[in-house]
Amino acid sequence: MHPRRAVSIAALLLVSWGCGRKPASPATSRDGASAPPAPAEDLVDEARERGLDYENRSGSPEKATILEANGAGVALIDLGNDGDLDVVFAQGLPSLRRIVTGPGVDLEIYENDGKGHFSHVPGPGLSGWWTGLAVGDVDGDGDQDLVAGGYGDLALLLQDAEGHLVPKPNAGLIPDDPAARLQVGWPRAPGHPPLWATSLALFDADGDGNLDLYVCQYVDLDPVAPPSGALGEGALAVPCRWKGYEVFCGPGGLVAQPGRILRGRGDGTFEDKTREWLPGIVPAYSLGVLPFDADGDGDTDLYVANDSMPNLLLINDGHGVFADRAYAAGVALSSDGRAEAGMGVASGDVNRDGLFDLAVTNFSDEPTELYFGSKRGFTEMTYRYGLQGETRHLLKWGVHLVDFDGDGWLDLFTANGHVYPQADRQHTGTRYGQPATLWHLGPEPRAVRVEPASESSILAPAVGSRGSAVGDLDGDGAPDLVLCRIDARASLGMNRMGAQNHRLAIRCLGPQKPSGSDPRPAAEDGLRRTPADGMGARVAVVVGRGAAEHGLLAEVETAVGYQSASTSWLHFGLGAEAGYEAIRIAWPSGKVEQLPAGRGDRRLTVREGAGIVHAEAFR
Amino acid sequence: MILALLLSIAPGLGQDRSVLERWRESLDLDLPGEVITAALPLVARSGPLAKDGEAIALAARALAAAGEEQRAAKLLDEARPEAASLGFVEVARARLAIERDDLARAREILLVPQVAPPVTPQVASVRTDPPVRFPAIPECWLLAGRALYRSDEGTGEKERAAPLLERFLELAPLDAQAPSALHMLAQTAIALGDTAAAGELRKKALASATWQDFYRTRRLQVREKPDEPLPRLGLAELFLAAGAHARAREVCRELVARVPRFCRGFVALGLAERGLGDLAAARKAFERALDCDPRAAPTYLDLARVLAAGGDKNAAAATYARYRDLGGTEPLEEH
Repeated sequence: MHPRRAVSIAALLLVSWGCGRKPASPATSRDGASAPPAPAEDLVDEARERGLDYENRSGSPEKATILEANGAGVALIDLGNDGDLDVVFAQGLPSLRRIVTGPGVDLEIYENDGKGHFSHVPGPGLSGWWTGLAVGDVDGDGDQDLVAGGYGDLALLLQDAEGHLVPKPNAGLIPDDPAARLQVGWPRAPGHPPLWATSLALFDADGDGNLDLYVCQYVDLDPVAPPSGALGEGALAVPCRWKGYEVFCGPGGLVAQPGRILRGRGDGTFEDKTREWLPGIVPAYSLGVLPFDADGDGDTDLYVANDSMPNLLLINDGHGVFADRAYAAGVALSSDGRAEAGMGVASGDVNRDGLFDLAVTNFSDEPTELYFGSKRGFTEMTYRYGLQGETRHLLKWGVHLVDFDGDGWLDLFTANGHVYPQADRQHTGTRYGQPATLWHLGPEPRAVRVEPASESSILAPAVGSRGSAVGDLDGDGAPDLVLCRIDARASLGMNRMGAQNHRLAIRCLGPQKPSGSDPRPAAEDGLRRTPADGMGARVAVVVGRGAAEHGLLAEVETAVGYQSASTSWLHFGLGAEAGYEAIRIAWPSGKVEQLPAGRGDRRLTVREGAGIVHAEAFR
Repeated sequence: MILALLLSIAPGLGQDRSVLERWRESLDLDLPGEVITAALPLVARSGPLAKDGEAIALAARALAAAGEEQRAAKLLDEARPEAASLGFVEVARARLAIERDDLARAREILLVPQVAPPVTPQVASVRTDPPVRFPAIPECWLLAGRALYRSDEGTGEKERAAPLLERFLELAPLDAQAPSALHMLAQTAIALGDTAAAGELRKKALASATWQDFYRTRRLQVREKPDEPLPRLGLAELFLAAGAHARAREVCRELVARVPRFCRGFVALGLAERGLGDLAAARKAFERALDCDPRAAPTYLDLARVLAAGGDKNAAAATYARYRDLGGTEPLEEH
């Protein structure tokens, strides 16, 4: 673990609350007598009513190849800079063969009317099998752009002045290997598997203020002659089976593709810096990536969830060169020493001690892991929170640590669903279709499952899901959730939880660009800069006074969960407190700002060096 | 029909534990359905294994692995095993508790009451005054160690777990859970700031995990194609590499019985016999290998060394000369 771990983020931000779990204030206590009676609470699926009619396709129902099981991601992005969140879905094809013969599919875009009602609008004109999405202001022009990854392709889409996503040719995302890109509909010989991108993360690795890109890559899968039945040949062939049932082959036995890191130049182009910035990193079956400041030293580190191989905790030296410290930090393997099938990753300060904690989703028969940040590395809390018993029959993907009910404690959401239709057969201990799940994580070390309040809850249907994204879609201040189900219609979970609680939403932006500079110059002076969209800023909101004082910590990152991008707005639950005592922001530039006490139930836009530049009440 | 078949083989189970070994292997290979189908009729109240705690424990483990925890718990609750095998049922109960994250209950079942293991005990003291209730069952040591390890809140449980895990590794170094025990020890060393020990344990854990991966794959291959010699040879070689010569011999005997024309099977058998110190049997196996493949130079060297170790210097010299004639360059004496 990085020696600077000892400098906690709480200390960095000069937040006064102490380390360790504190008693909840009466206002935020789950069982406190002062809390008003809670109404029926839920994430109510209003996709149909609100016009979100996306339906995922991910190969055949039989899932003949591993690609067909991995599903699609979803991104929340502000198109048109109108202040609301629009939705972009990745999309797949009916079969692996279709990616060769064509036609491919485009991304699917849903435009928000500002009140959380959506219209399907034309896509950017891509053609492929799309999986992961990343959101950030790549060219520093003040609006959000999108990177789409897929099986055989990666595309950068820059947002133009009208809010359209426009493909940027020759952005430098594809490796030089001519086989890496799969041209849909073009003849392709067997034996040349293309790149396969899963989760993506836009973040600033080297502190120059330009967003860089981490690309999780999965396995070599030959689209012309995919493996079937067994891997290996002759007497030593190993059948592709799970619990005795024949299933698709992989990832074990297939060739892993190496993760890649690309340096953004700030002008909409990238250069591959994998060799220099990821020295010694071996190829792995990567499915999830989370940028966050793991060691509290002010730069952005990465956690990479690998399938059936040890996970990585890539500690940044401040200049974009990463070293894996996962084993020493206790987050490479399960506590039993097994490499789990890592899928999605989320971070947040679960125990409110001023350190980021991690949640990592895994395969069935493996728990969703919960790791608490500590002064040295992480401490596994999975079992003490009861998450082994709660989650091991589920196969988990998208994951979020978000305070859905606004009580000041984070909740744990996971999107679930098995990869094998054979899971419905006898003695597997699991099912193919699985409901999404939500747990309250309060001051007591126990995950308390939230049962669906009605049939219309997104937690109710036992339909598998993969990607998920969180953001306030209707402007009421409560984070909602979009769930990308596999081979089914998406769900839109409108947050009806914690109506009695106060909340706060904060957006961080980099400093105002000097007029006339376009595009934003690269940092050739060695100074650290905050990206235009505030990516990497860490925010501590101090709530309550005296014994009730506590801090809420969050970091601006959009890459969270699985193959998806959530809002860059930070959402804080204030519980019964109508306001906050202070806001402290540690900007990636190294500057630290403190904002005085203020009212809650507002959306605040904070710009580095300028304080709150816009505030509006929740709708 | 199936039940009748199972019952017909049951009378011999008291002497032949290979059926239980097969179940154990099935569980290691994540095939709980196979065990459930085979075991439940036998451990039922009127079944021939109704009083066999080990069989009941394996059946319960299979049920739990298949998602039927309540049925597993009921099976254990209703079990009336013979006193000698009661420990297996109790350990299985603890396993279920751990899977439910009920670490306190697991500790209660596994650890000797009121005698908390000392913080830094030596393994010797663990042997003479075992802190676990069922010290003859390796899994008891592992699970007790795991329950303590997972309970740690900076209160020393990890350190208390260490000697239990070490004892488990002594008792069952090739168990599927050996990498897990080594990993917990490595993480404990990290927590204690002993980076040298942590590095060493991490290497061992990795080697153990790699060995287990191969072991699992070979067993799957054997099951898939029982008459193919290569997977069994691979299995034997894994045991030889781990110094488990008795198990290697067992595999080799089956291999040469099934495929007597597979010369390398006799070579591996000879190596296993030699590892067990049975030079006569080793000589016989190497000679069979050479009958089968007279141009296998390395086998002449193996035979020459066995002959030399047995004091038959002339025969050893002649055999070694043949090895050299065939291009061998290794010395007769082993380093």
